[in-house]
Amino acid sequence: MQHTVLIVEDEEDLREMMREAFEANGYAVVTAPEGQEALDRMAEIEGLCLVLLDLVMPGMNGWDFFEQVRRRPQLARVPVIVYSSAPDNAPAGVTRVLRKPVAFERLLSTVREFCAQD
Amino acid sequence: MAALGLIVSTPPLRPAVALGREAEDPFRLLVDSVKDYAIFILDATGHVRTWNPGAERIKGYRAEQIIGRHFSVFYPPDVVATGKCEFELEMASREGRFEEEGWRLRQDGSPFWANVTITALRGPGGELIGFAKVTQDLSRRRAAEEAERTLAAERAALAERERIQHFQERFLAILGHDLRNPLASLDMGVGVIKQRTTDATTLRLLERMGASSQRMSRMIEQILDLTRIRLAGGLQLHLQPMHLREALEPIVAELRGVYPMKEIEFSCEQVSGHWDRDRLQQVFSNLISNAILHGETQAPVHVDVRVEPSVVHVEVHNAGPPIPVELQRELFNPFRRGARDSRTAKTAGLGLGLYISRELVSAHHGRLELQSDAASGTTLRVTLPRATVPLR
Repeated sequence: MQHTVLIVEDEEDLREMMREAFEANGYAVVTAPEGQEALDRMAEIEGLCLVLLDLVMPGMNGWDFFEQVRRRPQLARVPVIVYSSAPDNAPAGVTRVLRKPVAFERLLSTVREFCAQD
Repeated sequence: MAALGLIVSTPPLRPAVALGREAEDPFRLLVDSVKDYAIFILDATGHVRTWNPGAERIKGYRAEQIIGRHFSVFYPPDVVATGKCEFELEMASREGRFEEEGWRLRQDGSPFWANVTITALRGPGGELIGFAKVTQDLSRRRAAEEAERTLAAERAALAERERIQHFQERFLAILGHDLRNPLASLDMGVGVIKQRTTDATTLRLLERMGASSQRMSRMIEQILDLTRIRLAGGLQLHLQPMHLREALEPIVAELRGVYPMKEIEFSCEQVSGHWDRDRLQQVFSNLISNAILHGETQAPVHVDVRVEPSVVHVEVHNAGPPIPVELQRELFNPFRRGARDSRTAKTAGLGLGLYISRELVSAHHGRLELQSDAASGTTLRVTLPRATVPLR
């Protein structure tokens, strides 16, 4: 089964660039521009192995999204990596925190770590 | 008028008491019962002829202390010297009336803010026989007005501070968030294309694009730091107990990777303190990179740690021609001249690195000092206070 990465990011350029980049490296990608949409779709995503989460977003922000994810047992096991330009006060309990911008190779190696391909 | 004229012509020592028939005069009773106004009469030359309880209360003189004295005693001496008293009588005489607000003195010399009216008194033939003077103490009103003005000014200053703070927060948000997102996109795009091409020219261009993006990212960090130092209440340190090695070793390793041809001689004995690891790494990265980029190409860069009982010194040394004396003076200034002059891809920057490093060391209650001469080359010495608390 293909591994799927969920990207929650409000900036379209970056969101689509990440989609292309991960798809080019063999991952399925689902994107959402803010937390609520991501939350609504999350339960139905097949093979979800990782969430890449921006924090400052219009609509539901990253903090509230993470809070909601933690309350849902079927979602709470999915690793959440904060990828933000201001990650100093990232919510406690996230799997990892990356400060934008991170070189693509590093981002990809982080994804590979959590979404090991066969 | 006639009644007043009579009082003027026969001035009593204690008006209300001393006067016989006039004591029953309703007007006299009125004047003597007024406590909030000094109401008294001057003769034509400005000498006090009558006094009322209001005058005693406001000015402090009892009737027997003041009657017969010139009214200039109510004015500050420097005002008297300007001829103001004569001027006021002159005006009242000519215009019939003189009114103003100004400073007057009490008997004890203390000033009060007064509303003063001087009215000329004339006899039946129109001849000047004296002046009626009414003085009101407006100190309270003035103090209230001043308090109100101060309050208004404080409110305005507070609003201005809030406006500036809001602007700073917005500015920091733009720098920290809005400018970094496009860089993240660029990095991502460069990374993906790099993966998918084998063309040497394209790869070279992508290397440069990646390096430019990283430089931009560093400059944004520096501007953020400068803004925090200068505008937003200073740099915040996250002090924690740590070994100095933790700050130095990763930086030396990283720079050895970036500059494989350059030799970095590094020695560090075990020493601990309460420091901010990330910020010290930022300082040492800046100092060691400078030594690599500006020192003599063939000679190694030395990073040495010397431990004293209460402080630790980290010296970053490079051989090569000394930094000119004029530049030494400016080296720690932000946006210094010269920083932008000889820019190559290697060294291009904002000229903020040393300024921020010094601020970071200062925030640790330490010092960053420069020594540069032809004989010994260039050394930047960081002196940090040591921990007083033992580490785990």
